[in-house]
Amino acid sequence: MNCQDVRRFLYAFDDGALEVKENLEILGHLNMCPSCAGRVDADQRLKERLAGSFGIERAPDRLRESVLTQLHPTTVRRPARWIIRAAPVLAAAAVIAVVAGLWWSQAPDGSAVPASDSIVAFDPDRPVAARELAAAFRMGHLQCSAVGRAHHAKGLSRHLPTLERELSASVGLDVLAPNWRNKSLRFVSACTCGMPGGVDGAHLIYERMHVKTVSLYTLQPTDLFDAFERDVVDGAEYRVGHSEGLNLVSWQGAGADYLLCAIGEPGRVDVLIRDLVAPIRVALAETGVDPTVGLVLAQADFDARLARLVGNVSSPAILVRQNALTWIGDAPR
Amino acid sequence: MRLSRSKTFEQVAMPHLDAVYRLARRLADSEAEAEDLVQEAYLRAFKAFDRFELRTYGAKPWLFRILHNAYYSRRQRANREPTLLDDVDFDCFTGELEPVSLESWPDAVPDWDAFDDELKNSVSQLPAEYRTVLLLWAFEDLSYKEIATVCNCKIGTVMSRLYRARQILSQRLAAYVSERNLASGSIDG
Repeated sequence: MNCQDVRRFLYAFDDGALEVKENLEILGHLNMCPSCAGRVDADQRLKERLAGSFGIERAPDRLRESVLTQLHPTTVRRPARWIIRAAPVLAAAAVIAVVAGLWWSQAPDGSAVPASDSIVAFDPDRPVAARELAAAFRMGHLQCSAVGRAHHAKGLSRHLPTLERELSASVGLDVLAPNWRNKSLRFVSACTCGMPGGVDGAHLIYERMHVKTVSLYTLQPTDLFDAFERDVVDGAEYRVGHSEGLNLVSWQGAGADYLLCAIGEPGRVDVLIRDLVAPIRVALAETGVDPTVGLVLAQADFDARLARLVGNVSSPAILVRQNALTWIGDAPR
Repeated sequence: MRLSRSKTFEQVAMPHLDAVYRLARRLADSEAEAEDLVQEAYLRAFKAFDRFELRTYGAKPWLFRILHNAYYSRRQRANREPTLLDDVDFDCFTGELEPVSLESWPDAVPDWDAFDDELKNSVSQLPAEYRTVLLLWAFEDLSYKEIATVCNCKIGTVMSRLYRARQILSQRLAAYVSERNLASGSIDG
């Protein structure tokens, strides 16, 4: 495909509306063409901007009353003034309660509370079964996905390298915000979410073809995943769990734990690791390179950008591209 | 019986009032007209609620569709805005665009964040059909299929309108930047 061919379908590609074959053909072109790739980025920024510019208007209270009156012609409903004034506060409080309850509720006697439809809770001082923890993260993934675009915290950049720096500074961890576009995964949203045991962390969501398929958590170092099964893939150890259609893969970084939560069958865990996790983990753990540098460079999918980067890199760094590592500058001893 | 039915309608429809209002506000010429439209749409929805199939539409697309129909009924009555002639299906759409002229894509990509007012202004100047699909796509994150359901048109028509709307916005914003010699990000250089 050349640029003309690609641009006919560029918006449809960006909206996840193409068949797999066309999708892959366009991805192949985007990996080589910074110009067309830039158009995709620009289109995503346009969508974000439109949503941000218009998306926060609320219906006036008088309209709400009029509509309700219309539905109940014999009964005039007029909410108390304090309810109208307090509505935004009450709504915010309800959201906070749900989010907090998601992770930190526990029974009065301190024991773990069985999972319910909407709240998963456990005792952070007791060992948690892998199945329970997997269910908790599954619920977290689904809840945050269901919030949609509003899950993205206000003020956070949507530019992945910038987002990575912002979140890392915010939670004091080496937060990962990888670019998985070459895996047909599009970044959706990020925020700092409440995590099991009260630890802070970051939660990023990615989607494929409009299905929000992947959550990537960066967490304070924790023993939460010790109950997971051990899985060794290509010589590296991972802790894996599976719960009701979601695979979970956890691994330890230098100063943080990472958890990937993705839709898939249990037998697909190894593929998931090789596809998404291994390149990042290898980059972080085996090179001694500053993770942020490594990951910023990992965004450089395109040859033209790479050429510019090589000229500007002053310290050893790596490029992660299609599961292969390439050194830029001098490799560390 | 009636009370129970109305309660159910409330539970289904009222949570989407803000979203329906936002769409109405962008379609209508004034705030008053937007509020009228929303009231009309909710009344129509309430009357049709017995026939509503949640699994077929989903509540929000269903309400958008009713609002969309109410809006176009009013427009037709007032004869204020003709239907666009380029309602083509996707095959026609892609054929028509072949080959794509790369000149139709602006060289530089404006930094949208810096031009909020101009962006809003450009959106308001789009034909209503384009504006509708753009808003459903950008605000509500609806799929092509859902937008097609709301607008009662083919998916190809949705794609065609979205393509043109985004091209028009990009060109207008690029022209705005160029005319004022404002800084912008060139992605080719």
